[in-house]
Amino acid sequence: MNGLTDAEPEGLSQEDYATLCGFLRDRTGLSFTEAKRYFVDRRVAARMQAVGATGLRAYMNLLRFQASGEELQRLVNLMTVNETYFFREKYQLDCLVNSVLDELVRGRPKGARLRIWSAGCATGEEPYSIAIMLLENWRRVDDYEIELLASDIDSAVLERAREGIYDERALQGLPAHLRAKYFQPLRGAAEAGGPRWQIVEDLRESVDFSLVNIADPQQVRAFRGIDVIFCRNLLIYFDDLGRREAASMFHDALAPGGFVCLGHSESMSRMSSLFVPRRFPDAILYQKPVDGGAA
Amino acid sequence: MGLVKKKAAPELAPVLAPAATGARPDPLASLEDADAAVRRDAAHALGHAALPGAEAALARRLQTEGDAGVREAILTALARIATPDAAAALVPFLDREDAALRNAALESLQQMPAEVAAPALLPLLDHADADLRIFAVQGLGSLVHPSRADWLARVMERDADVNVCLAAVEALAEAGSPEALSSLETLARRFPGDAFVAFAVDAARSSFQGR
Repeated sequence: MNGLTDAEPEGLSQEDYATLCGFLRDRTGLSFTEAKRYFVDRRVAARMQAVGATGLRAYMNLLRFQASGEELQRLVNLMTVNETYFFREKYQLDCLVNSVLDELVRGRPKGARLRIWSAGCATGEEPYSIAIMLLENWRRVDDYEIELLASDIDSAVLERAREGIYDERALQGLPAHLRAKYFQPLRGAAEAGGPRWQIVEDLRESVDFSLVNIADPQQVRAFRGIDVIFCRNLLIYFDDLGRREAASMFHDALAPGGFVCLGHSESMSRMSSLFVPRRFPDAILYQKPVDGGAA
Repeated sequence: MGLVKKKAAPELAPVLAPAATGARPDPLASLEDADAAVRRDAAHALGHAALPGAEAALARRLQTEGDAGVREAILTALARIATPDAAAALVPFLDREDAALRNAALESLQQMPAEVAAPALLPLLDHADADLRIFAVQGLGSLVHPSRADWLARVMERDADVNVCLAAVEALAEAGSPEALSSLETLARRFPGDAFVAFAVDAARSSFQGR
């Protein structure tokens, strides 16, 4: 057994904090430095109170050994950051429809399948934005079967993603005609926090959401033959080795010649040498070599 | 055609239960599996639950591994294990013909704690091969360690190969190490006719002095 104390979480010693964060990093890939102590302490305190844990030792036992994993899932749901909006970093979506997809389908027969994965999709704005961009701006959208996959480690945000209900802030970057075409205003929803809109059912049915821990290779193994992975502003919550591992899993999930799209502040060259940077007119993406990078 | 409609949305399956991350096949045995995906998963597992002999097994597999993804997983696992044995297991790969493998091995050493990586890299400063000494300088130069500037200063004052010395200048300049100024001056005197040494020393000197 480790040297955990039974102190209240507000008073977590440096050692206890390191143990807790090490456990979370190992299970989820999420990395919390000392600078995040206040953020972590408050959430752990809330969960300990909710389950009636008498101390950190008891709470860690629950996290480690609970057969359902329910408490760990609840804690992780509190630890993730899910701030996003429609058409965020739109130049990358432009790159998808203006350059990347045409390159990917070159030589593929009509009717072939394309697989796009939004990893770390939070409340769904990214995969739905991709869907709208494809329908609106890729002239060959009807020539191929396009599968849109979306995943997150946070079960609460995935339920919201499936519902597809958004407030004004999430929709601010969306042109009015697209809002009118792909969203329905929700009546009687204005009292609580302003007006809200729901993605039309047809589009909701076009995104396949699943709960996935990308720090676990067994779970990522379900994703194979992917053509494009969007993983934007997720790996910034991982440490260097966690990023390197995630990049390796993406490499494995991609079809030869497939692409990874990272957030604007992220660079694959600082994570892994498995990919080749590709500069397109709209954005830089990272490509798995067509030969898979065999040695 | 167009966007594929999903079937009825299933319940979100739990992914953080111990069973989801727990019982797996023996990773040491799986490291030799014919399926690259199994080998990659085995390397990943060994990185997270280092078993006795894991370092040697990973290094052995790395010598013959042809799949880029598995190689990367092995190198990352060794970096995560970060024992003296793991660091020592990476050193022989700094000497390989394959530049990608050399660089990835160095990167793994750099991602280890300094107190683990430094003892593996320091002996290379005295190696007969100047290329290996450059790798050692690059590795040591990226570590956060109180003796870092001293190691690099020693290189600038003593190493016979100008390229090794310049690698030390570069490493010092990146982090800004004013305490190494006198060693920089020594280096400039050791290679008085070399214009690039003069340029590099001057650039480093300027960066230390905030100009």
